[in-house]
Amino acid sequence: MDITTSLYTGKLVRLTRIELEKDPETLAEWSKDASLMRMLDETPARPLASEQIKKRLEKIEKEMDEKHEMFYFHIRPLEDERLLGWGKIYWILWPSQIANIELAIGPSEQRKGYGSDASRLFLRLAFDELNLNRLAVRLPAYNIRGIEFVKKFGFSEEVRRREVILRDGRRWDSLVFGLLRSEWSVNHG
Amino acid sequence: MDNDIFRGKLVRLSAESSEVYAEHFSRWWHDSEYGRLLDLAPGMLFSPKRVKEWLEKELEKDPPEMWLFGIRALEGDKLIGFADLSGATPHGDTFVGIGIGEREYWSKGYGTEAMKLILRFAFVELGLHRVSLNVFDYNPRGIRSYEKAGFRHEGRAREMILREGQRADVLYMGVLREDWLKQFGAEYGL
Ligand SMILES: CC(C)(COP(=O)(O)OP(=O)(O)OC[C@H]1O[C@@H](n2cnc3c(N)ncnc32)[C@H](O)[C@@H]1OP(=O)(O)O)[C@@H](O)C(=O)NCCC(=O)NCCS
Repeated sequence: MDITTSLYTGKLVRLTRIELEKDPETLAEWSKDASLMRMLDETPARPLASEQIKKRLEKIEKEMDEKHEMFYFHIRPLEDERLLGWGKIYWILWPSQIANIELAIGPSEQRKGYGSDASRLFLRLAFDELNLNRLAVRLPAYNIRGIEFVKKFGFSEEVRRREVILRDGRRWDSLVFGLLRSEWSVNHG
Repeated sequence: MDNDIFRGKLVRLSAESSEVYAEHFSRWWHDSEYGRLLDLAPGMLFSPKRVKEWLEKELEKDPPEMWLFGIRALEGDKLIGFADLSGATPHGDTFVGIGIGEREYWSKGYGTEAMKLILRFAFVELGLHRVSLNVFDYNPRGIRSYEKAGFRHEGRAREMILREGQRADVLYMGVLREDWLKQFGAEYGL
């Protein structure tokens, strides 16, 4: 057992709390461009003002406090306080030892290794601290990079919900990927 | 055009007052097997009063977030279960839930017919593109019933359930409007 290695600090990034004063501005900036939201799920993308985002973040904090079904973090580099992205372990169902995971890196911060480093932290948190047995990710079939990314960490495709998403004039499948504790390895990715 | 889309040969989809739903839901959930077939989360037993409060909030919403129906056996007009569509997306997808709470009505074709009626409602009245559902792999009766109603298997989320010391999977099933029309269109004169 190693309780000395930090759960929140990786080689490039840190998992940190929400900064209600500064983060909404960065998130509002990212929402001007639909690309990030569209890669996550089928919720219609729309630009959001900082105030709207601040309210959402406050709701997330309240929910974490009251329900204990979600762990939500803001991802920052080791060297400064800027926001790189967010990640959450959510829909935790304790009796089943299962949860979903979502990870998003801001458009301008992608392809620098931040996502992989953050992902290693989230998986370790899920399996070694929360004692979950299974994590699931939902991804639209057109998110090719997302799919390659989760596969790199050992997730496998379990479900293909046909034609769930209607975007850009055509129908796309929505996928569910699953990772069991027994398939997880700290060395993945 | 056949207008009686809420009536089959064995059952009809009905509207019920929140008192009637509440009394029945509360009683049905006291059957733990029923609860363990319907819900991933451990059952909580609620009084009819609590169920009624929750339902009234839900049913007040206009447009509804949930299309809830009672299932009544035509014989004796007895309320035997419920079916609902909820979580509809702007992409024309929704999840269906169904439960026959009166167990002596299981495995006699009532559930399948009710499912066929609610699918017909989803496609001809709501104009949806597809309907989705989740069913646990230890529910062969449900799986068989949904296959008969036109659903196809779309995958298996592994080890979603831990009950009685064993892990079980959750199956995803879905039916597309196009496939449904091919299979049942003629039956409904479409
Ligand atoms: C699931 C449910 C809605 C299905 O309705 P139903 O009226 O019982 O279903 P039907 O009688 O039309 O069909 C059941 C089929 O399962 C088959 N079946 C029943 N028990 C079975 C078993 N142990 N193994 C395999 N097949 C079985 C029946 O033979 C029948 O198929 P057939 O017509 O080919 O012979 C109903 O049983 C119910 O509400 N169950 C309790 C709650 C529940 O499971 N809700 C659904 C959660 S997703």
